[in-house]
Parts: sequence; structure tokens; C-alpha cells
Amino acid sequence: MIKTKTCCRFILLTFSLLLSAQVLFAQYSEYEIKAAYIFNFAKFIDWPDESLQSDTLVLAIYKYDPFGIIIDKTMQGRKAQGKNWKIVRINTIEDIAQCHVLFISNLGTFETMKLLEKTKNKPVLTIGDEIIGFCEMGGVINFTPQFSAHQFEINNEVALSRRISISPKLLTLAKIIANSEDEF
Amino acid sequence: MTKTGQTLVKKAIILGIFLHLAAYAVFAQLNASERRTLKTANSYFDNEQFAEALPLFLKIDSLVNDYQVTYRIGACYLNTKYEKLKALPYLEYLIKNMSLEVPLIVYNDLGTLYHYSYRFDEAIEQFRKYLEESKKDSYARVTDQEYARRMITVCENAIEITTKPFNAEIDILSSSINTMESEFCPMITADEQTLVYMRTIGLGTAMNQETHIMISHKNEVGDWQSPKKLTVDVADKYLDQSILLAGLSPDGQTLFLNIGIGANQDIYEATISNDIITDLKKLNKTINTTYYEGRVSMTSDGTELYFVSDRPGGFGGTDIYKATRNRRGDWDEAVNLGATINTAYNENSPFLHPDNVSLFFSSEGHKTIGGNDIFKSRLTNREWTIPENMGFLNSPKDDLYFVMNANGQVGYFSTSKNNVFDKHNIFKVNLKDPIPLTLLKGTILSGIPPKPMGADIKVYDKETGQQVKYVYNPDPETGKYLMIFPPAKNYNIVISSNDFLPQLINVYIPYQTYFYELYQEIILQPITLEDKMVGEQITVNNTFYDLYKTSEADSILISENLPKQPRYYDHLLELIENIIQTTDTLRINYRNVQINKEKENEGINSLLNLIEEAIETTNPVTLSILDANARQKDHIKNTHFYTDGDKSQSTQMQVIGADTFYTAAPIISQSSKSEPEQRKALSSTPIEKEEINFKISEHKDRRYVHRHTIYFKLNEAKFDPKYEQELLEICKLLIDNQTLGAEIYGFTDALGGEKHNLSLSRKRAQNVLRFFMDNSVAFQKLIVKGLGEVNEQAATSGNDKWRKVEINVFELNVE
Repeated sequence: MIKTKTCCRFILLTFSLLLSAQVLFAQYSEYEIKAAYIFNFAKFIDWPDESLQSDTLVLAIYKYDPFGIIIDKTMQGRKAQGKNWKIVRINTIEDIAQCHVLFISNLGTFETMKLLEKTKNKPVLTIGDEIIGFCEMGGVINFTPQFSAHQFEINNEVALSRRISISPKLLTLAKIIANSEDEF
Repeated sequence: MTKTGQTLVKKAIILGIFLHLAAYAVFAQLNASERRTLKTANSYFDNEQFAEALPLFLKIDSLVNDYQVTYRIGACYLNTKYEKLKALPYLEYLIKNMSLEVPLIVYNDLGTLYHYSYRFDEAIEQFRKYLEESKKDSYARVTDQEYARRMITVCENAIEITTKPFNAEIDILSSSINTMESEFCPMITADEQTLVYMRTIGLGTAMNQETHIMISHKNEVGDWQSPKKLTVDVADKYLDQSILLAGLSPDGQTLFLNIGIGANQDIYEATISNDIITDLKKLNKTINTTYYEGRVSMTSDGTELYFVSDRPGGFGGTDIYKATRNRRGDWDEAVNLGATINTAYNENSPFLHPDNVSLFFSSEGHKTIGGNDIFKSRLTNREWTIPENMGFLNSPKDDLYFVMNANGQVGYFSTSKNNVFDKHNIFKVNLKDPIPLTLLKGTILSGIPPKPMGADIKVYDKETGQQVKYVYNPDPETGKYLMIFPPAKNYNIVISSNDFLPQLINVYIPYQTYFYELYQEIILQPITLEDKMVGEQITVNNTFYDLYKTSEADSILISENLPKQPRYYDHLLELIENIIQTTDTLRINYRNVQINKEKENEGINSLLNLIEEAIETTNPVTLSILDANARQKDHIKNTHFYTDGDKSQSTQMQVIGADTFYTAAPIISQSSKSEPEQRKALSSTPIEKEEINFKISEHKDRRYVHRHTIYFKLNEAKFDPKYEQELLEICKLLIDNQTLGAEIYGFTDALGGEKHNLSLSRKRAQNVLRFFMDNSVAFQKLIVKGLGEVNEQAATSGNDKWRKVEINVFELNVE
């Protein structure tokens, strides 16, 4: 019996070594990365003073929530702009009132447009989740699909109109979208 | 083992009677009451009441030194269920002081005990001695000699097998599964999310023994939750029969049971619903005979059934048989697996891995190291390979019930190793050879918000057009289904349900040498306009769990997509290594590795820091590598509109094999983490084709999806605001769906001048157009015409129904 025990211990050891070697190839999931981006965006973006009165930074997720618990885990206990995060999930445009970041995923073009219009000129950082034409419609940041040249696109004109200032570092890494000339 | 114990006892009894005379020597050393005790002990012993005899003999043994008493104590221990090994010192003592009073069989018994305790060399020595000595003994039985010879081979096997190195980790399952009672016969689903097993209560006690069938599911972090007892919903006629677990289909939808009295067990199939085993069905007569039918394993495609039977015509003992499903869906004549698998000894508990070529089973024959051992054989060129002993899993005792998950990484088995009371515990073994299979798990949801839905799923092999016979229908309560596919195959999946068009999904499973899992979420949602269903949208979300991504794959991604910046790259690799080492995002589905909160936080911290540093140093390479390595969800969306709201006219004909289906346009789903180009090709569905020119489209190409009319007051060009809501809904539909366009046709009544009417009808149409454009509908999508007054209506009926604008939403047939 003693023999087998030591044997087991040895095996346990070798296996744990192998395990760590295998883990090397593990990956992050899409939304773990997106959550980490959102967290970091807040560090490289300044909101106007009057919208930073409260002691929390509010992230609103509109209707469809692709993150699940991931976003809560990412934001929990970590500060951005010296504030704790507060995550709210909302279902109607009316609920948006007091948020700093608005995340929009899996929403039809029509509703996206209505939503962006509703928050127009408000200091809300709107983030689209791979929504086609999001920045052209008046969104601030849009994630791009995997294997794009840039991981996100930014419409800085919209940001400025919303009195949000984005760090040049972030702008350097983004694909820059300009407002379309033609309103049609 | 008990068998030899019994033969020893029988001999002892014969010998005992003969030796009663010799026993006088012992009697001389004892006082009267002690003599009485010995007498009682001997009579218990002669009546085979060993439990009663044992304490009495032990008492005498403490008083006198006598070979016969020693021998009888040894024999009593050998006949206990759980204390056999205690006989060891007594038998060793006898062998050392071998005399005529001691029967030769003692050598065999000591050999057996040595074998039990992994002292194989010593065991061989004892068996050899028996063979040698028994030659001189004319009373020696042939069966005992055969036993000794067999055991020498077994011990030699054991020396060979137990000294082989192995790379696997064996863990006992947590205390929620393994209790003080006996847990055995574990069965898992291919995705290792559900465990069904048996628990026997009261083993080793005087209590009535009871066997329950238990079920446990994994929680989010991959731990087995506390198990629940499954109750069997059966008619009274089974009440006095034993009901045992016999098998579980790889997707967990079908449970097999053994029901019967004594050795006449039969196989039944059943389903589990709300922790109740119901819908019991006895398998047909080709499977169930008047003989014993036991454990079952079904192939992942449901076409073959492997089971145990001791029916005549086999190779001896219980053998493994195979039955194939015929066209009517019933089982055909069972075939013996042949001499490669079945031996003259018992074969038991077959488990066919979901790859449908690896068979695990237990046998007392082959190259066993004692009792039942677990063996593995593979089907190559329609022949089974010579069974290989699973080595490290096996002990000199009975090892049974081995099962494995689909990726070949994790196996479960139960053994009584190291347990005094022979109580089994369930163990888990982490193996290292991945098996290249694709596990497709999915959920079908429908409605807004999405809820699980029942549906009928048919799967076809694309090359042969053959329907895969197994029924993959999702569980109506959870909407979940599970399929297992070999590499390098293409499949068509047809999903039919009551409320939606039949959907055809192409699944391509490329050639790969590693295992991966694909999670597919199919969401069917209605598109409604004024409470009428005008179309439906199907979304297929694929998530890949690509465990064995190779370093080559990484280098391809990097070389193709990134500017070469070696300076960053080294640093980055180091960084990524660090993060990855502290996290394992796949834990939920793959390993029971428990990641504690701190570790998880470390993982998140690394990721956050990595991105922050990349932004801080404006380093796009880090972000690109991170992006390329992300485990991605793949979204594929198709929208189907019904022609004039009529579902039946909106399908395409698909001929698959011998069947013809009318389904919505097929969806192509790649079930692998594809190369970048492929992925790009997939993500640009035809819907995204830029700027369809609706205006020059020919009338015949327009397929009308919805028609809507609004009415006007006399000589009024503006529409009533009450229509705004309806019009807004149409706007939404047009904006959200790029293939849709609309005709806006204005009309007037016959009152007033023709010219005036024409211009009025134009104004009406233009007002609607303006509303549409104000609501962001691209004007390219709209065809606007004023048609003036319509002649034939003149006298027929009231004028108000001709003061209108017609809005006809259509879809262009873009090929």
C-alpha cells in the first residue's frame, strides 16, 4: 500500500507540471476581453466635471447583456477615475438618465439610432458591440469584429459634442470614424 | 477468492473430523470450561458458522499453541467478507512450521492473500510450492492446481503491469458523491456535466441493504453538486424485483436499467424527468432472453448497443454482445463480439467511447492482474485489437465500470481499493490522450425574451445523404441538445418546430487532431408588424472551446496580421504567458480544477494591466495578439420574411438523401475556430451587401412581405397622426432589414378634377415619404408614386376608401 501511495504522489506531481504546460494555450473569451477594454477606456477618457459629482461610475447595459457575470467580476472592487463601478442593466430608454458608459449589444439599427438620438449631446460614452455603422450613427466607440485591423473604432467628433475627451493614446489605437457629410 | 476459502474449509472439515483424535493433545492443556469452549468453537466451525467460531478460537489461541487452532482461525478469517487479510499472520505461521496436520491448500490461500496485498513475488512462490507439493498428494484436486497455475500467470501480469510508468492523476470524488456508504457504477454524459451512479446503503452492517440510483450535475465552477436520488416510476409488477443502473446514452437523454430477479436480469430503457425515471420500455427479444442481460453502452449515434449476456453460444461466463438498430428503429439480432474480446471468463461493463471505436470493458480473463480488470480495445478495419490492460486503474480486486468523457481526458470508475468493507468509491482519472472529436452542445430558444423550446432535429451526413439515426431532439424543458461528430465531416441539421419555418443549418467539421467543443445557441424570434407575424429571425451563436490550440496556429495568426515588431513581441509573449498561467478560462467546462477567487482575480488583473499597458504605450501588437487569441462567439443571423405573411410560401426545397424538405434558406455554420479569412467570409452574410438598388428592381423580383394602407380625409394631403405608430413600425422594419424596400402609392377618390387628383395623390405619397425619411429610412429603399384617381371605382362604393396611401413592403430576390 505504501508503495502505491508514493507512486500516486509522484504521479500527482508530474501531472500538475503537465497541467501548467497545457494551460499555456488557454485563452480569454471574447467578453472577458471586452469587459477589460471597457474598464480601461474609463481610465483614458475624461468626463466633464459636472457629470462626475456622484461617487460611482455607472455602466449601463441596454437590454441584451452578453457578459453575464463576467462584467461584474471584472469591475468589482476595482476603481476607475477614483470611483467604484456600478453596473446597471436597463430596458427602456428612459432609464438611461444618469450613466457614464452605455453599452449596446445585439440591437437593431432602428433602435440603436433612437437610443443614440436620445442621449445626443449628453456626456455619455456610448459603446457599441460590433454594431454596423455605430460610430457613423453617432456612437462614440464601437468594437470591431475579430481579426479587424483595429480592435475598436472611435468617432471623436461625437465624443467632443458630448464633452467627453478621449486620450490621444486611445485614438492612436482606434480606427477613426468621421461624421458622414451626407445626412441622407 | 471466496471459492478457495470454501474449499479450504471443506478440507478442514474432513480433516477436522480425522484430527479430533489428535485434538486430545490440546484438550490436555485446557481446563473444563475452556474445553467446552473449544468444543463449541469446533462445532460452529463444522457448521460453517465462522463468525461465531472465530472469537472462541481466538480465546483458545491465547491459551495454547496449537497448529489446528491457528489453522482454523486463518480459515475463519478467510471466510469473513471484510477481514480476509487478518488470516495472513496465521497462515504465514503455519507455512513456517509446516506439518502434516496442515492441509496443502494453505499454500494457495496464502498466495491469494499475498496477491491481494500486492506481494506478487511471494504469491508466486506460494502457488509454485502448492503445485510442487500437490504432486505428491493423491487427494489434491485438479481445480486447485489449475487455480494455482492461473494465479501464477496473473501475478506475473501484475508484476509487469504495475511496474509500468503512467501519466495520469487519480482523484477521489468529493464527499458529496462519496459517502460512508458504497458508491459504484458511475456513468457520465459525453460532456461530463451529468453523473449517474448507484449507492448501496447498509453494506457491512446488519441493516437491510438498499441500492439507490443517484444523479448529480456540475455547477458553474465544475464541481459536482450534491446528488439527488432518482425515484423509479414503475408499475407495481417490478416492486419485488431489483432495479439497477445499466447504462446512460452519451447525451444523457436515455437511461438503461437492469430489472429482474436474481440472475434473470433484463434491459429496459427509460428517461429521466424531474429526478424521476419514467417511460420504462423493455428492449426487444433479440436483446432480452431468459438468461442474464446486464450492463449496456450505446454508440453516440444511437445505432449500436453493446451489452452483457450469459446466453448460450458464448465463450464462457458473461460475454459482450452487440446489436444494431435496423430501419424500423428496432434492434436486430445480437452478435457476440468474438474471441478477441470475450474469453472463457466473465466479461462485463462495456463502455463504448463516443468516438464509437474505443471499447472499455472489464474482464476476469485476458491479462488480468486479479479479479475483474478494465481493458481497452479499439475497432480498426472492423476488427477489435487485442485488449490492453488499463494498468494503473486496476487492482488485484474487482475493477469494474469505467467510463470516459468525449474528449478522452477524464474517466470515472469505482473501486473498493483500500476499503476494509469492500465499499466502493467513485474515482476520477485525468488522462492525457485527447480524442479528436467534436462535441456540439446547444440550446434552442425562441420568442422575445428567448425561452427554451421543443423541436424536432434531424441530422444528415452531407456526403452520403444518410440520416444519422439517433434522435437528437432537445429536452423540451431546457431546450438543450448534444451531438458528437467525428472529424472531417459535413452535416445538415434540420430543425422543425410548430411556430417557425423549418431551418436548415450546415455544420462543417474540419479535420483536426484534437478535441474541441462547440456551443451553439439557436434563437428563433418572430418579426411582427401590428401583431401579425411577417417573418422570423434565426440567430446562431457559436462559441468555440478550442482546448488544444497549437503554437503553430498562434504563429500563423501573428505572422499574417501583425507588423513585425520583435522588440514588443518578446515582452508580450512573456506577459501573455504570465496572464495565462494565472488563469484558466476553460475550467468551467473542462476540468474540475477549482480556481479560487484570488486566482481568478489575478487573471482579471493581468488582463486589465495588459490592456492598460498596451494603451499607455500605444502598442497595437499586444491588442492584436489578444484579439487573435480570443475565444470568440460567432454570430450568424438570418432573417426570413413570409410572402404576403403566408409561411407556407416562404420555403426553399431541399433534397437531402431520400427526403425532401421545405426549409428556410440554409445557414452555414463552421464548427471550428476557423482561419481568419474564413471567418471574414462568414461574418459578411449576403444581407450586408451594400446598397441594393430598389428603384430599378423589376416588379417580378419583388416578393411582398407586408401590405399596409392608411386613409385620408377629403381633399386632405396630410395623414392623421393616429397612423404614426403603425408607420413607425414599418420604418423600424425597413431600417433593421437591409433587403427590404417599400412602395408608397398614393390614391384619391373620383371627386374633383383628374389633374388635381393626380397631384393630391402625389402629395399624399410624399407626406408618407417625408415621415419615413424623418425617421431615418434611406430614400433609396422607397419607391414613391402618385396614381391619382382610379377609374373603375367611380360609382361602386363610398369614396373614403379610395383616399389612401398603400405601403407595400417587399424583399428583393437577390441572387
